[in-house]
Amino acid sequence: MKKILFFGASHVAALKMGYESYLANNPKTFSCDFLGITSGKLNMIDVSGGRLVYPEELESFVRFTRDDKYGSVRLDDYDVVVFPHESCLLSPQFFFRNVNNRYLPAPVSASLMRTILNRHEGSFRNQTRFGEFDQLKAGRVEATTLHQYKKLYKLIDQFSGLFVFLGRPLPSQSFDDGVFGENVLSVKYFDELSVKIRSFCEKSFLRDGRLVYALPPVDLLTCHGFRTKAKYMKNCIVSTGPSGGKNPLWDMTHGNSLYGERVVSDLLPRIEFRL
Amino acid sequence: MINVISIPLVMRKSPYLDLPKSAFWKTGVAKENPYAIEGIYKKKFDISNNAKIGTAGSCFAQHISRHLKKNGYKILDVEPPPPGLPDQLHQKFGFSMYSARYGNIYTVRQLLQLAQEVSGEWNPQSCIWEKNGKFFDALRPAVEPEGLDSPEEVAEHRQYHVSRVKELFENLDLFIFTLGLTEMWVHKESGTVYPTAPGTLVGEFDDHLYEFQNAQFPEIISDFNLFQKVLKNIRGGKPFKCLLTVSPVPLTATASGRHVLESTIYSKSTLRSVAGQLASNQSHIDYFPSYEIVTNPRIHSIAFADNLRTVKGETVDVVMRHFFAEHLNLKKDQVVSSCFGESQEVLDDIQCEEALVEAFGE
Repeated sequence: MKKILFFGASHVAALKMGYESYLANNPKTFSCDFLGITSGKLNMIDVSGGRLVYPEELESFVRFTRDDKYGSVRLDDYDVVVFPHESCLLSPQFFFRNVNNRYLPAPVSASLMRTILNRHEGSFRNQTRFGEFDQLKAGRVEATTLHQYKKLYKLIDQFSGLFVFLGRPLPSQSFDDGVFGENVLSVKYFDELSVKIRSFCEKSFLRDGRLVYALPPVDLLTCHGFRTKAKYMKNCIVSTGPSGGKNPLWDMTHGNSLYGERVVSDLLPRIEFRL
Repeated sequence: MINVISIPLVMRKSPYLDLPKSAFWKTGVAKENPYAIEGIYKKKFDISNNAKIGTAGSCFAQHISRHLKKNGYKILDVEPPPPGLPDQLHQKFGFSMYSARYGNIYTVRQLLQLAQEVSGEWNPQSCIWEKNGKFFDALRPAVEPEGLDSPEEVAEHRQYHVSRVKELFENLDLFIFTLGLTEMWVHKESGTVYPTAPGTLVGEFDDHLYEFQNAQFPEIISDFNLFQKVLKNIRGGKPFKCLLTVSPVPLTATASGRHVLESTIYSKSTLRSVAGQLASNQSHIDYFPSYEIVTNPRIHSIAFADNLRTVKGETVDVVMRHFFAEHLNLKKDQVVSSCFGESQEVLDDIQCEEALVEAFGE
């Protein structure tokens, strides 16, 4: 049986819960492990000798579904690594620009998408924080930091299987109901752009190289793909805060098990096809 | 018999007598420090920190744009790169080079035609070229180096680009333009000017369709003045300022039939004269002598890299120090955020389609 490692920070949780629900109604086709490390500590992992290594002091910040917690994971034990951490940089809303307070969708070429997909560096050099509330509210979820990228690409270099960038959930629809600067023409362009980007991601997933992007299924989204439907976000309906503090009802950034189940049910058949 | 004119003693004073040392070759150049030339540039107007600056021109303009950004000037960027594209790949796709993704604009005619396209007065012809099943915008072939999938996609990208340039033209306060070339390749029927010869990067050369032209002084002046008129119309009459420079980068190749050295001197001399005349006659146009600073005989032999075309990083820094000394009121050795020390590799990265002509040389 082929093996998949879901590796990342807090967003691994929804996928793990979702996978468990998925297995209740579907046959097991993969052996899946889930390794989650608190996002603030993710920088402390290292990749060396084909292993993903985390120091002993991280033990209490690591959640791993495998029993053998020996502080490192042999990457070649897996056929696929799924990385649900950063925002998906091929999310169409990233191409929907605010220029002088007018929001316009910028056209994007296949070679530009391919370049973004195969990039070898984080894109926000100077940003060390991501997922800030204001960023989320504006729909601009930050990407993985450069420091994390260095490690991520070490991982990709030392891993010979398929590496799937799975974007973290888009912000909840509770933030905002509409597309920014909505007007008929820009929404029409944006919808066309979304179809194009999704088509590119889909094609590259099924037949291209080792690095692929998986966008969230469209039925999870609202506002032309800008937001995640509220019912898929943690336990929340309406909220005022980014992660809800201690109240999961207010969490607007993390998916819940429904979200995870839908993503997993979309992802696994495609991985199966690809392998 | 020889007539001797007798000049009264009080009139014997030479008009050169009280001139500053910058007026004399010996003190202004031969013995002057080429890295801090006194009086080489006197700004015509201030550039405030809030001024919205648009930049365009031939490849040397990229240096100016980059240095201005690093020194805190507000350079407009109406086509920013997508967040997922790493910094070092911006140039590959024509991002972050200028205020819009138009690539290098080498000639004033190109600039004029872009403005006319923006204003809706004119449409370029024969501007989608094909290579190996991929399609390119012939007016900026380098911004999508792998091409697009269909002519329709090229048209879609161009439409977006033109809409962004309109935004730029409407909003800028100062337009910085570097004049690069007089030589150009033109679509015979429509007069459409291309930044590269058909067949160089993409497309195919057909002498029935395309012809070589070498612009002369009067038509360049006329083109620039017409450009300003079109720009003013786009802006609804709102005034703007211009800063002109001339690229010191020599021609990679000439199609004029003359020696490339002679053609380079013709081209640069003409452009320099154009810039000089425009700046002399129009109060809103300033000229910054980057060309002179680089080609100063005191440093000319060391200003360029081994290919004698690429301007060295340290030379660019010298140029920009003169600019900022005037505009930031700093001593020429005090400029902040200088790009000094950038490796030659970085400078070689400056996008210059013209350099690709070399690949089609001998």
